[in-house]
Amino acid sequence: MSTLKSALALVVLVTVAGCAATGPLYSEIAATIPPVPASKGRVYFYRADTIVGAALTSDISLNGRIVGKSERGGFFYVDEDPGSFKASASTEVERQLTFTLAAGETKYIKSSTSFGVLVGRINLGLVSPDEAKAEIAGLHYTEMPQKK
Amino acid sequence: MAWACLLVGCAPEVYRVPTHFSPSTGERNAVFVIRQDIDVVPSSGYPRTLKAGSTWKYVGRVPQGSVFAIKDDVFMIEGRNRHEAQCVVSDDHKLVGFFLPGEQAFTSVEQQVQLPASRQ
Repeated sequence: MSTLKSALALVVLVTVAGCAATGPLYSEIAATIPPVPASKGRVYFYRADTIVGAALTSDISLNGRIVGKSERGGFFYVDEDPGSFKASASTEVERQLTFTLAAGETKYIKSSTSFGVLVGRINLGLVSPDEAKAEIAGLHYTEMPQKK
Repeated sequence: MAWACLLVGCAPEVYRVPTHFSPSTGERNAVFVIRQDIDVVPSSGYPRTLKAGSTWKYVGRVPQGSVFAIKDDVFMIEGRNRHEAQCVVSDDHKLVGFFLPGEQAFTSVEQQVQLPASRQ
């Protein structure tokens, strides 16, 4: 019986905890991140290292193009021409965020999870630079920006 | 009720209409600061708070009024999806709605609000 309980606990733990991002910490690569090109803006995507909904992952799209993945404890960034954008993440439903980006501007988008009908959902929201910088400091870089 | 709907996924889409935005050409450098929290209800039904102390800078006009963007912070409205939003203020300094710059659209508030703000 106790073996069964232990197995169930392990399953629950794995389900809840999921896999966290494993790349280098922001603090380790901050000095190597290039400045924003003059004609472009930068968008950081990140997700805090929290247990709730940790197993949920989703591709993140920007104007229909996959630019990265929402992973617990991870961040990445993309440089884009100025304009209007629609960022989206999908699990059982798609959630979108619309925003604009100006040349030289940096915006920060945080993924968070919420309850759904069958599985959780990943929501995207703008975050102030001060709040985002404090949170990203302890997160892992998940991938290189993808080329257009 | 609204938050319960949002939780289970029946959140309505923010009702919005296309509008034409004329960006500021620098002719006006108006800024206002909100003196106390203001709760407003966009047409999506989900309340938002304009925070006391937040600073809003004039960025242009839409036919519905002057457009002010929050300074050094972010502001969104939310229904099924989230939208970066800027305040639209009438000439008699009432908040009449929000401009959604990412979609060049306007959404009204259920009840216009006189802004308790100081101009700078």
